[in-house]
Amino acid sequence: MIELLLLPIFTSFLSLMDGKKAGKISVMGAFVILASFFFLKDGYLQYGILVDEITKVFYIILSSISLLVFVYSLKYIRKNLRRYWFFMNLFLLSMLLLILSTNLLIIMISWELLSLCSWALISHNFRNPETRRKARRVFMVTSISDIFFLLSIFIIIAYSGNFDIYKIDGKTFEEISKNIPIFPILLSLGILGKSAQFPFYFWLLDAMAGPSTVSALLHSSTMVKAGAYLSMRILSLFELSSFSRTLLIFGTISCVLSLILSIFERRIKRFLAYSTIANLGLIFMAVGSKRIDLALLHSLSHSFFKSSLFLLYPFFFEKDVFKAGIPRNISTIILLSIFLSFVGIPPFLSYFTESSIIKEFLPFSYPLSFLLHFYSMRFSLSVFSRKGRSVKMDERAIVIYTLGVLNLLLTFIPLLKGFKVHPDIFLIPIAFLLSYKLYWKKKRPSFEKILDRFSFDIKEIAPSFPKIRLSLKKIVLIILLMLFLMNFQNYFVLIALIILMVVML
Amino acid sequence: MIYLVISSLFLFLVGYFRKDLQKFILILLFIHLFLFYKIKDIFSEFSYISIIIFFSSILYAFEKRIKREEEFYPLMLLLLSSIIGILESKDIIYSFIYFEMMCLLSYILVAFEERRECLEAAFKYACFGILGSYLMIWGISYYFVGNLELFSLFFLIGLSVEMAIFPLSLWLPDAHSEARTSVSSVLSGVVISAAMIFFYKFYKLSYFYTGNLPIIFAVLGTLLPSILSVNERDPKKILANSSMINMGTSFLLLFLDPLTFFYYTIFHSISKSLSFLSLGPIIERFGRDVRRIKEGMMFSSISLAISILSLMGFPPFIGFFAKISSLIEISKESLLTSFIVLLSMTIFLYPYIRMLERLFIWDGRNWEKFSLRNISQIFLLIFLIFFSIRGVEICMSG
Repeated sequence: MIELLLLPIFTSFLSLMDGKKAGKISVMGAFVILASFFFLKDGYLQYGILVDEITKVFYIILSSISLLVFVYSLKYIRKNLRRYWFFMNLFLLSMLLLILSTNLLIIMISWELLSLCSWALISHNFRNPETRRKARRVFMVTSISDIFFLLSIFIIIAYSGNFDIYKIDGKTFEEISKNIPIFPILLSLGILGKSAQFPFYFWLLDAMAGPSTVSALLHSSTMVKAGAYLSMRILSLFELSSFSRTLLIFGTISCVLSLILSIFERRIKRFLAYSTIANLGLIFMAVGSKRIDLALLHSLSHSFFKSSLFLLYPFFFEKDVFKAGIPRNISTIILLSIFLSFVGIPPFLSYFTESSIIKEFLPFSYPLSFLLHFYSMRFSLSVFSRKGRSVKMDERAIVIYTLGVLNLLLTFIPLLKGFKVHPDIFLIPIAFLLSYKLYWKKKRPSFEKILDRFSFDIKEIAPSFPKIRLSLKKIVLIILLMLFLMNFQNYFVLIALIILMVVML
Repeated sequence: MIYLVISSLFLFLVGYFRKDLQKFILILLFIHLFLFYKIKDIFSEFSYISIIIFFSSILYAFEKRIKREEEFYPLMLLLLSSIIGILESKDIIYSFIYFEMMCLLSYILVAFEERRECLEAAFKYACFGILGSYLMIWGISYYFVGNLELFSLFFLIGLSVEMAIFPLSLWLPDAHSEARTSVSSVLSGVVISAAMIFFYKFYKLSYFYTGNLPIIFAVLGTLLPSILSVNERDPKKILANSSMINMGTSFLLLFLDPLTFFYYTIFHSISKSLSFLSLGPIIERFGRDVRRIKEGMMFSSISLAISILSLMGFPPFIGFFAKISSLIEISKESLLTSFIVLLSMTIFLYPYIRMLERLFIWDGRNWEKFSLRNISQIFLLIFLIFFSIRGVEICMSG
C-alpha cells in the first residue's frame, strides 16, 4: 500500500528532470495505480490506512480519471511540461493520501497540498496576468475555508488526544458538540469550502481559467469531491446529526442557487462550473441525509460525465454556448452517451441518483427536478443543434471515446441495484420541449437580451463600493430563490413560482 | 563565548593586514565550532543552529567584496558570541550584558552599508532599542529590590522591543529590509529569536504579571502586520513583516508549551534565514519589486520557493509541522486566539503567493552560475529538511 504512495512521488520528481518524457512516465504511473485497485484489501490496515466501500469508489474515480486526463494531456499540454506534470503527480499523491488514510495529520497534509496543486495548475499559463490573478483568488478563498477546517481538526485532536479518526471514541464528538456548539458549522464550512459550496462557491468560477485537463481532473471529478469524501468518512464512523443537517442545508442552497445562475451563463466553462457546484450540492444533500450509497453513486456518475464535458470543451473551438457545436467526426453515440448522462435521462445512472436524492429529501421535488433537466438541456440542445469542426483523431479523441463507453457502462449499475423510475419522469419531456423551443439552433433567447439592458454598475451609485456587477435578472432571481426556499411546503406557491420563472425565461 | 570575543578582536587585527587570511581563520573557527560545540540542552541546540545560520550568512557574504569587510566579519562573529552568551548564561545580569552587546552590534550592522535608508533604519532601531534597554534596566533593578511585579512589567515591555512584539516592533520592517542580505538573514533568523529565548529563560523567575494584555498585543501583532502587508511589493519587507507575525505566535507559545515554542523558533530561524539568503541574488538581478522577478535564477529560485513554502506552512516542510503543533497548543487554551492567529497566517499567504508565482517557472533558462551563495543556501536547506523530519515526531507527541 505504501508503494502506491511512493509512485507519484517518484514520477513527480522524474518530471522535473525531463519534461518531454514526464508525460509518458506519469501515464505509466497512473496506470499502475489504477491496476492496483484489484489488489486493495478491505479493512483497517497498518499506518492508518482504511479500505472500505467509500475508499474503493473514490479510488476508482481518482485513478481512472487521472489516467484518462494524463493520456489526454500528452497531446493537449505543450508548454511548461515539467511544472504541469510535477503538480499533476503531486495532486495524485495528495488525493491518494486523503482517500486512503484515517490519520488526521496525513489528512491535513493532503488538504494543504490540494490547495497548492490547484493554484499551481490553474496558473499554468502564468504569463497571462489575468490567469495569475484568478489563481491567487482561488488560492486565497480555499485557504480561508481551510481556516475552519483546521480549527475543527485541532478541536478534535485537543479533545480526543488522538490523530487517528478510526480510533476516536464517538463520545468525544458529543463532548465537543456540548462544549463548542459551533463545531458542526466550523467543520461544515471547512469541508464545503473545498467542495465549492455556498458560501465559498465562487472560487470554482475563477478556477476555470486553468487548462481543460485541470478542470476535468481537479475541478470537477476529484479535488472538489475531497470535501464530500471527508464528510462521508466522518458520518460513516460517527453519529453527528447537527453536522449532517448543516451539510444538507448548505448543499440545497448551493444546488438551487447554482442551477438558477447557470441558466443565464453563456460561457461554457463557467456553465460547467455552475453545474459542478449544483451536482456537488446534490451529493451533500445525500450525505446530509445519511444516504451515503446515493452520494457515492452520484459522485461516480458525475465524475465521468463532467470530466467528459470538460475534455470535450477544446473540441468546440468556441467559448459561447450559443456558438459551440459538436465535433463532426466523433461518433454521435459516444456524444449522446455523454450528454444524456449529463442531462439525466433513464437508463443513465445520473437520472436515478438525482431523482432518488431529490425525492428522498424534498417533499416537493418537482421544481428542482425540472430545473435540473432544464439547465442541462439548455446547454446540450444548444450545442447539439450545431455542427462544429472536425477534430484530429489522436489520444484526445481516444479518451473521449473511452469516457463515452464508460458512461454507457455505468447504465448497468441501476439495473444491478434495482433502481426504479420516479414519477418526476414526466418533467423530462416538458423540459425538453421548452429547451427545444428556446435554444435549438438559436443564437440567444430574446428575453435574456432584454434583461441585459437593465444591467448597471453599482460603482455609479456608490463609488466607494467594491466593483460588483449586478443585473436586474440576478436581483429578480435572488428574490425568486428566497421565495422558493421560504415556501418549500406550499405546493401551489411552488408551481406558481416555477411558472413565473419560466415566463421570465 | 569569551574565546569567540577574543577571536573576533584578533580577526579585526588580522583583517587590516590580510583579508584572505581573515576569511581563512573565520572558516577554521566555524569548523572548530561545528565539531566541538557541545549540545547539552535546548538552549545550546539553538546556539548550534545560530552557528549554522551565521556560517551560511558569512559564506554568502564571501561571494562579493564588501566595503570595509575587515570590520564586517569580526562584527558578525562578535554578534554570534553575544547570542551564544545570552543562550548559555544562567545569570540575569550576564545575560543582560550579552543582550546589550547584541543590540549594539545589530544597530551597527544595520547601518553598515552607510546608505541613507540603512542609516535611517538603524537610527529608528537604535531609538526603540535604547528605550527598551532602559526599561529592562529598571526592571532588573526592581528585581534586586524585591519588587517582582514591577520587574516583570518593565522587563516584559523592555524586551518586547527586541522580541518584535506589537506595538514596539515598528522598527523591524525597515531595519530588516534595509540591511544587507547576510545581516538581514541573521537579524531575522537569530537575533529576535534569541531575545525571545532570553525572555523565556527568566520570565519564570517571578510571579509574572501577564494577565491578558501581552496575549492581546501578541495576537494584534500577528493580525495587523498581515493586513498591512497585503499590498506590499518589496520582497524583503514582506519577509520582514512576516517576522512580526511569527514572533507574535512564538510569544503565545512561550506561555503554553516549551517544546512547541522551541520547535517554532527553530522553524522561523532556519526558514527566514534561508529565504533572505535566497532572495539576495534575485533582488540584485531584478530589483526590489515582486512584479519584476522573472525566471533565470534557477538555484536561488528553488531555494527561495522551498523557504517560502515552509514559511507559508506547507507540507512536507518544517513550517507545516511548526504551524500545526503551535495551533494545536493555542487552540487547547483558546479557540478565538487560535482563529485570529490562523486568520493572520492565512491573510499573509497573499504576499507570499505573489512571490511564489514568479518562482515556479522552469523553462530551461538559467543565468545563475553556481557559487558560494548557492552553497550557503544548500547548507541551510539540509537543516530545513532535517528539522522537517523531526517535525513529524513533535506533532505526534504533541
